[in-house]
Amino acid sequence: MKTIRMVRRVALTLVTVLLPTVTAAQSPPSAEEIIRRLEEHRTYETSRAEMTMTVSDRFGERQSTMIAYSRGAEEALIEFTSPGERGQKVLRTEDEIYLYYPDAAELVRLQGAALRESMLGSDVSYEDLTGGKTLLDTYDVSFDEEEEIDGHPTYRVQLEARRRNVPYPRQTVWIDAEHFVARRTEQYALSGRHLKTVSASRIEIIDGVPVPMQQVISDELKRNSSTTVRIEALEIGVSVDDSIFSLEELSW
Amino acid sequence: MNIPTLAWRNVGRNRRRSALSVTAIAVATLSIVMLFSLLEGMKSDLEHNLTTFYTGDVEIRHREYGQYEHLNPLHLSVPEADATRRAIAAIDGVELAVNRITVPGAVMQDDERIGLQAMGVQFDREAKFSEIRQYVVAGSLQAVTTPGDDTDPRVTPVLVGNRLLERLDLEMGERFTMVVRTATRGTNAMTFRAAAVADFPVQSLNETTFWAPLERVQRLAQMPGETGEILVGLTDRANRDPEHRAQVLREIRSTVPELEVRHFTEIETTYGFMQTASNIYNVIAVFFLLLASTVVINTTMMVIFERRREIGTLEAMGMRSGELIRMFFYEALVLGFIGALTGLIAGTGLALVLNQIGIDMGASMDSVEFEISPVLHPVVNLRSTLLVFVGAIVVSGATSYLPTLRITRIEPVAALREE
Amino acid sequence: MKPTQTVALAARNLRRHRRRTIITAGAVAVGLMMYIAVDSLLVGVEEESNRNLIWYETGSAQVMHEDYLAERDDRPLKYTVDDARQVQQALEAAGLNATSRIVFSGELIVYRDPFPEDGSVMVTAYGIDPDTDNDVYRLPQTISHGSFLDPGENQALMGAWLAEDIGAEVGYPITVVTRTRHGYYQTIDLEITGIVNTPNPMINRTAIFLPEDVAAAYLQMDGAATEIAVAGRLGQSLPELTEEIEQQIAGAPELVVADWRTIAADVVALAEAKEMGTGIILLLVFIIAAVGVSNTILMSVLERTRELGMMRAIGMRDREVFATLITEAAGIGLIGGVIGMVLGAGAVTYLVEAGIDYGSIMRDTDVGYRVTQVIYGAWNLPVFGRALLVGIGIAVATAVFPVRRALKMSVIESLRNA
Repeated sequence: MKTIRMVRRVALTLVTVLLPTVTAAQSPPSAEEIIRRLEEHRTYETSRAEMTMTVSDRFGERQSTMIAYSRGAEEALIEFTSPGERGQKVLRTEDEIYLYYPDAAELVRLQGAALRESMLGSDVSYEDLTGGKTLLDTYDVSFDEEEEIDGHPTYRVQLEARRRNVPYPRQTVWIDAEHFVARRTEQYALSGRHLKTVSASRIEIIDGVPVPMQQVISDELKRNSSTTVRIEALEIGVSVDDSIFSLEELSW
Repeated sequence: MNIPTLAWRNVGRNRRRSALSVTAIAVATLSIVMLFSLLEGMKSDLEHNLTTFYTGDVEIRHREYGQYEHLNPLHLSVPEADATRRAIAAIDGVELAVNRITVPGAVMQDDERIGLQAMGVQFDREAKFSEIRQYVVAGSLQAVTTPGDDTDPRVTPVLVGNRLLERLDLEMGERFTMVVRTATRGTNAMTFRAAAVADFPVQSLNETTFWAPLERVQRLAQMPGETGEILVGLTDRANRDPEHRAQVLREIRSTVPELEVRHFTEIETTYGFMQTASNIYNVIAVFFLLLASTVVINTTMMVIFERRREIGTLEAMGMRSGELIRMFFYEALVLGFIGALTGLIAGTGLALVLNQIGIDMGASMDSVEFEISPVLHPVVNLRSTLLVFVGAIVVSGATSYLPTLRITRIEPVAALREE
Repeated sequence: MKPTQTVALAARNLRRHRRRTIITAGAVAVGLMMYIAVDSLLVGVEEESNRNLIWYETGSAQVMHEDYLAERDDRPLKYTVDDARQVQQALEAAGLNATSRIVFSGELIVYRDPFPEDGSVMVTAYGIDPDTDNDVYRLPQTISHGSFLDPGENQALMGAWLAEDIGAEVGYPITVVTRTRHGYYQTIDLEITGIVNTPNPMINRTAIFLPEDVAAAYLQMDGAATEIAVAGRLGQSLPELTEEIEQQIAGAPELVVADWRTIAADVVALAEAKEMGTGIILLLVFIIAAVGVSNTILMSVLERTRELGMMRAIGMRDREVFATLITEAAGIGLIGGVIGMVLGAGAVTYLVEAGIDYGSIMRDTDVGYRVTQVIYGAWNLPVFGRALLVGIGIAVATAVFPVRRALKMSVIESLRNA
């Protein structure tokens, strides 16, 4: 396990270093390659992030803050720090989500349809947080064309679902040609209706990994509904205690 | 000869026949009085349940709440709950006022999501407002209002509707954790312990609701110091006297001008429901009146037709038909009066007794989703009772007219010959 | 005197005193008719919630996946009848009316212009087969505005209260966001073609209907439906119906038959419990009717004391007189009973078909748009038989006592009597 991680780490670093060369080569990489590199940038061996989430809906805006820890693609823990929900935690393990509330004496386990509920009233559902989201496993990808988003060159890649049990049958992702992070993602319903747009901005290189520091998720069906997630601070590769992702420790 | 005297004498002369007429009228009156008081009981029961558990006599809430009701907009609340409540309670004509918060949420069990609602109440005030004690069927209110043996402060003892407990597949004393959307549109969860079980007279409450201390629900829904609504109980006088009530409502409105203040009759859904029930009862009542009238009509007609010979004799003796008709009319009136009075006294008495002891609709009502209590208390309505009384006399008197008229038109000789 | 002679004499007496017979039998008839009508109305009110379920939500019974029933409240598309058409055809071949439905939950999204404002609300959507749905359910009859669905068209019917809440009118566009059978997000754009105002509050408040083939295509159902609803035959009991359906689906072990009582167990308990209140009302009706009947019979016997004396004077034995009078009473009960049954049947027919529109009776009560204002009666056949027996029974029972008494008098005494 450790070796694999090491190898990946090395590969990751290599990629980052080699990045400008690849772009300079002018011939765009294959869609699979683009997505692979995109995903590599999304997954950290370990990380710790301080984030702010702003939800606006018809009743106005509300803000919450949180600290998120992650390890690999599967494990994550979000701990809310804003007054309204201070101490609440969301633990993601391989295929389950547990919620911890300081006011409750028991953990809440989410399964099945309950995962479709929104987190803190945002446009993010618990389902969006669940693991195992390697895009290449679930989607057939095809390169579309190069396009500029907010003045940045991007590769537009089409994702067509291979399985019928994923939320979005089709997605279009605009991946930054320089940093290989998604600048824009559009998610569609089976009918072809545009459901959600995720727009990323303020890309920063942190510990060698390009990270979009701000993402805006807007619900295209509800005119006044959007969620902004801003990363205030991010450390990658920090040492994270094993116990953080354990169920037993969740309530402490 | 004085016609009324003659009629009176006739009544006394054939006791058996008079007794029969009187019995018919009496039983008809009694049944109608009973039915009306039964229906009145069902109506007032419905009203009581709706005003006790849903609206109060007057409901006070945020102005915009109704518009977004289907979204459960908890943030559209009443601020400074206690001060506002006290100000309302101090108004002349207000008997008492309570704060309540209803928070919908879910309990996650395995793959299932069980919907339920927490109602935050002030148990000490509810003791008087909704007389909650009488609905507790297991455990005690004491167990809910005092911390008890829970060492874990996160566990709140609550009063759970009996059907909800079944739906959650729990026993009394066991815990459940409920997840809700808060008033700040975040989420929160809290663990509750079924310290007592209630059998609310409103079955939808039994199915979905548990009662918890207001402060805990305020914390759960993150509404510190706020309440969802204030339910107001008016004094008897304000309930009776529309002018005084209007005055009280005006005063409430001026006390909380920024809030929505509605008398329960102004609440379309609730009041419409009551009107529907009331209309169904009225239809039943109409049938009853028809039937009872038939009985009275039939008896009266029978009595007169059987006396054809007598009518013939009287006519032969020179009594004019106008006088005859009047005589029979007076007779019928006298019989109607005695019968109706007997029925009225017996029916009212019976209804009053049943009002005290109640008619137990039995345990079969357990899982019923209808706002009628299992124990019915008939209520005597003075106006309808008097109406029935007068009605019985009028019907009996009016019925005497036609047959008498017909017989007097026959030649006296023919009338005499018959039988 | 032979029994036939007794009957003949009684019959002659009844004919001879035609007016008395008519009034007395009339009392019996009206009493029984009222009893039957009130019973029908009460059963009707009681059954209304049942009917509202059967006509608009459940049908008489449904074929569904064995795991569906327990999770029916969540409207999962996980457990389905996979070959819905085949099941439906098998049921139809057996002479049963059947229709398939795809029921799912979704979020209804509407926008300002034409709607008063942007909004979204959770709804239960019913994919219904416009051609066969009416064989089992009664939706078209409840359309208050617009028209019914056409197969294959992106059309929707909307519950009246829901429409009122969000300000919807016929012709407005709506979007339903949901998940397909396997989990994809899906949106369905529909145009409202009709508003349904059913007596079922659940339907009125939360339901929309769309053509089943449209729902099937959007939800990737591949021929599956969530339920096949079946209409019961008149007079067929639920167990019989269930058994008949079970025979038709014997080839599919994962399917089960659930009758409407099972599907809506909690609502059904309501009807059973309300029987007590109904019982009290019926008892009161019975008392009045019984008093009416017994009173007239009693009177007709009492008034005939003279006649009794006459019969005895010409040599009839007491037993014969007694038998004759009792037979007369029974005859009156029978005549009244039969007329009562006929009148009752007429009244019940009216109550069942037309109902009582108390909305128009009581104009001044402002019940508003939200409540049904017609109560319907229901056929309750056993009560007819019971009514006839009761009519005869009371007539005979009330005749016995006064006749006995009259027979105890001396002939002279009774002849002298008024």
